[in-house]
Amino acid sequence: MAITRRIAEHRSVLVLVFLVVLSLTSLASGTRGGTIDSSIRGAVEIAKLPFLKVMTYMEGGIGYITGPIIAYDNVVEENKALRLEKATLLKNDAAYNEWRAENERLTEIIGFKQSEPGLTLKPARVVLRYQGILTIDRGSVDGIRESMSVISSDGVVGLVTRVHWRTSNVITLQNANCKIDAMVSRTRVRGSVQGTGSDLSRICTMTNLYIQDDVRENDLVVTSPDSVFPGGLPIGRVRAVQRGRETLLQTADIVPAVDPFQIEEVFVVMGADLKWENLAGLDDSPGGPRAVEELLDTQTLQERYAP
Amino acid sequence: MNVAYDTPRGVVTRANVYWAILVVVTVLVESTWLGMIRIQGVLPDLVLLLVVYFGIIQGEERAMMTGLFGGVLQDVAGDTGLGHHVLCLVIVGFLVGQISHRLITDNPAVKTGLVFCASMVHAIIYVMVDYVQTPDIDALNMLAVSHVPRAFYTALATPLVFYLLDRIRWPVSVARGGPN
Repeated sequence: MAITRRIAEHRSVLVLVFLVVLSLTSLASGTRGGTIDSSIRGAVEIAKLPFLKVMTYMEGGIGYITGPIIAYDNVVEENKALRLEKATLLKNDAAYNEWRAENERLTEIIGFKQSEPGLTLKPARVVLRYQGILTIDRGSVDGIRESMSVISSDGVVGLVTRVHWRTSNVITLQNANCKIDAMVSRTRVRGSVQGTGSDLSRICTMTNLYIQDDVRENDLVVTSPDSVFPGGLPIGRVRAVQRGRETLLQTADIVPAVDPFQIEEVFVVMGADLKWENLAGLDDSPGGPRAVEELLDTQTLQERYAP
Repeated sequence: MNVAYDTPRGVVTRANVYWAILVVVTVLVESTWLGMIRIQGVLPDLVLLLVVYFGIIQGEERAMMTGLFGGVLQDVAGDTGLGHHVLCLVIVGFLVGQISHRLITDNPAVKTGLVFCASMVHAIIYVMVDYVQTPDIDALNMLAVSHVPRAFYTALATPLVFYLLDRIRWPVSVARGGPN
């Protein structure tokens, strides 16, 4: 009983001695890496995870609130740099979009060239559009001659009217002086398509149609084989048919297949031009009948290019 | 925990669970969130504050148990040898428990001074153990550069931490003198 009482009186000292001995033993034995040590460390690490997550969120929140205040100058500088980078990226993006659109157009053009193997096509780029007249970047050095037909992958564009050294003028269906021999694809009815001369309206007119000719809305109008163009090229679609009361003729409003204000690449039909040139006696062979060409120069555009 | 004789056993167990949770949370807070209030690389020692608090309020045995439990967790969290913090905190807990019998400890300044002294004792023992384990360390420099500022910081945190600990609603009376 006395021992028990004495132990109870000095319990705290005994506990201290026990714990100190335990600690020193642990330190002396170097229990780091043992099973108990590893288990305790693993448990503590797992218990720390939620605290660490909360701390991360808190740090993020505090940084979100105080960051712009503490680092205002840095934010301003960074903002400037980001604006510059954004502008550069926008510029690059615009260039990329241009290249992509050009790539699509060129791919379409290549497809068109492959689908028209019988034609000798000279690709050209439109460099200027003015009052229904396009300026292309091909000229006499490229073999371009007046009255050559110009087409695109969508259909008829117009005719070459002026040829310079490096450029040429192409009159389009937007211009009143352009007149093309055409026919309705469905019924083979022949007529002439000519521009209205209005910059505001893309609509062309098909004339020389008899009142009994079968022409309907949405009919496809193509080039006639008699024209300087290869036959069957799309010119446009009939939007409306106008019938006069006291005349035997009717006219049709045509929506052109090609919008000259949006087109960027065209083809000059070299082979078809040569054929027409031969027919007109305008070949470039020495001693050729140049007098006919001079005679043509005295005519109006309509007279010169109407079929 | 020192409780009245007529305290039911379940209540005592609940109080011990509260105590264990408090120690665990304190160690986890010290090893995670406390880094946010780090000043020049110095942090207050919350576990030491707990040891001193329980030494003052409940005597040396509770303080030593707190030192044992908190020290093990600190050793694990700090990746030191198992027993390093335990040894320091157990001795500090015993000393604080013994001294607090003879001190008027209701004064916050006394508590703060006691915490500072306890921190210094803790630091000295800690550095001594370190020195025994690794004799080539500059023990005095380590004490001056790292542990003395830590003791000051811990002492500064004393009023707030003790205030918060006093706000905890313990399941049983924590009056001194009762048996565990």
